[in-house]
Amino acid sequence: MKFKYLKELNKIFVTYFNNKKILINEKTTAKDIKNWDSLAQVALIISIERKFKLRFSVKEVDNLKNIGDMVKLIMVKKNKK
Amino acid sequence: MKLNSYIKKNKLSSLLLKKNVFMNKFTKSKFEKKIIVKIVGGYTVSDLQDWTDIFCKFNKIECNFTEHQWGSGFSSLLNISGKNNDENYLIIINSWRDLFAPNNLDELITTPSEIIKIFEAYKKYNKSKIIISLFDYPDIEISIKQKNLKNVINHLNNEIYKIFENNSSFSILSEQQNVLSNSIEWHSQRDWHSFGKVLTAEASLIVSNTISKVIKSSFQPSKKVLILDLDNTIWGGVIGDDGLKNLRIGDETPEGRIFLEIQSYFKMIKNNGVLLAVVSKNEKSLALEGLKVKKNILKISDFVATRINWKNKSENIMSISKELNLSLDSFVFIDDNPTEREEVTKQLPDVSIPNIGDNPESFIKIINDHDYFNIGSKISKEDAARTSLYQIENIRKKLQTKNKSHSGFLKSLKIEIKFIKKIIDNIERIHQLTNKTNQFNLTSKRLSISEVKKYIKNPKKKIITVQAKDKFGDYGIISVMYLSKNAQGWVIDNWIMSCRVFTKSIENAILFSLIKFIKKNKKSNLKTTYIVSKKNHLMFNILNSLGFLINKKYSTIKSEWILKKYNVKHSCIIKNEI
Repeated sequence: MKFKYLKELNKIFVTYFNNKKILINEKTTAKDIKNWDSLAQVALIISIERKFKLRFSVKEVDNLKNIGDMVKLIMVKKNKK
Repeated sequence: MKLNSYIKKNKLSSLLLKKNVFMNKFTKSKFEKKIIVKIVGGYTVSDLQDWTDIFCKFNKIECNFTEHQWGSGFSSLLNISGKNNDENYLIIINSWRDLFAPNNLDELITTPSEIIKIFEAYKKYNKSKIIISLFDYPDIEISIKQKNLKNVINHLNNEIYKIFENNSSFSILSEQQNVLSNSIEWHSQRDWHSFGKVLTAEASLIVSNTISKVIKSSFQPSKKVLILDLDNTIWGGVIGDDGLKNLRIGDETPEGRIFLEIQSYFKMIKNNGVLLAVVSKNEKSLALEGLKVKKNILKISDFVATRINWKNKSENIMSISKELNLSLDSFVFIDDNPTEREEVTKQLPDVSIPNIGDNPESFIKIINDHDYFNIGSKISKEDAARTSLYQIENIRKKLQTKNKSHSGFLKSLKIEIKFIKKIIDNIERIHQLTNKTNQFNLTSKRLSISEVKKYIKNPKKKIITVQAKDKFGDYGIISVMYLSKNAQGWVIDNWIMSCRVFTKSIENAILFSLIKFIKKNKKSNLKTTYIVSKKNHLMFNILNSLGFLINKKYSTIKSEWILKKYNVKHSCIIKNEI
């Protein structure tokens, strides 16, 4: 499951940054990807929400540190449904 | 997938993700227009900016954005001094959150009357084109001092509408309602608190798309002639087959009611200054009888030209274009028959032809969505009376064919010209004429109202405004000339005349008066600049016949001319001096 979500997330990153070379893993943070600034952060979160059909809360958005956090959060949210 | 199809198919979230893809797509494109834009409002407007940029580039318009101030729409207006802004467009986005202090829903940040004062003050100093959105509604019920916030917002919007009546205002509210019916979220508490966004990403997309449409339409001159088919376009049925009595028009049947509304819609367009004409393949006598049926809202007198015969429609439209002296790119052709639309499209590609389909229920909406006619913008006296002006012109022309000598004919018209002295009172018509006229126009330079005002105030410049009438009626203001003074004499910066009064020797009479004025001022030299455009080729012959000769050539299209002959002849009665 984890791997599947990671793959889907990667697709979103590739499309958003318009860069086919991007390969994310659980430890990836904003520092690792060029152009991942605060604006990109917002766009990515919104795109991820739309893609996985879920909504993160203010607190959840605040606590995201890396891709691993994001994957965990998606898994928790998807299981609740 | 193309940019527009995402919007049409409502695939907004997949479009959101592709922002960078589209931003890169246009890096090598060439643009027809460059504009400077500032977007104010909604705290974080970066989304609006990016998407407006993309949508405008799609329309071949390149935007340069000046940095925006942080803060709500109206309060940041206070920080922009009107004096040193050089934007072409200022876009003000208003939203209900702007009315509150951050994170406090119990208290308005200021009173509505204070907010209105800010807008009023800003309007006075601002030079750029303003595109303003009205305030939208919150997604929750809020009442302040027993007053429902929606009422407060309605009041504010009414006032804003009054202040910016002459500018492009658009309503976020109506966008919001459209979107609500498509069940897309407009506001989100999370987006506000986490990202500082008043509008959701999807809402920003929709608003940017609207902004880009408003910008685009500001470059498109509105259409002047609406050509209508008859059978199954303005009434239900085919008059030749079904017979007069079986036409569906009138309030007895649902289909008849639809066509009534369609006719009233065309009538409304006509009353906004657009000329209507009929082009129909029919027996003329029969079709005219159809138009005389009392239930019709459109009467024969509503049309400036009719072509009812069995010729190709393109041929008929061409002949109307010649008769009215209006170019085909100002024509819209409405016909339910796809074969006819195809024929005209192939022969006359400049004519706009919406695919209205064959279902009358959607005719009005489809025509509306093309934004051909600038419905809703303020219209002048000349606009409202345009149809009758053109009808009188037709009578004049018939008289002309009777009179053999042209100058004899002109004298029989008893043309009077008058120079208007109170120029500022007619600034709207001057502005309109300057920006709408393509053929008799020396430089095609467009001016904003404030640029025209500058001209009036400058002691080294002069605007000449001419009103004309003849024995059939009043033409109103038909010509504007922009002049500058220098050491040697005067330079015509631009000269514009309405095509309705061509070949009446009015330009000769204007020049005649101008020469008198120049001599009185003891300056002898009169020069003019001529910039060739797609549509003003006739100016070459006019300048020649008036006695101007080329003095300098700047480029293949730009030249300077100087007046050599001072004995210009005309057939008008000149009522006063410049």
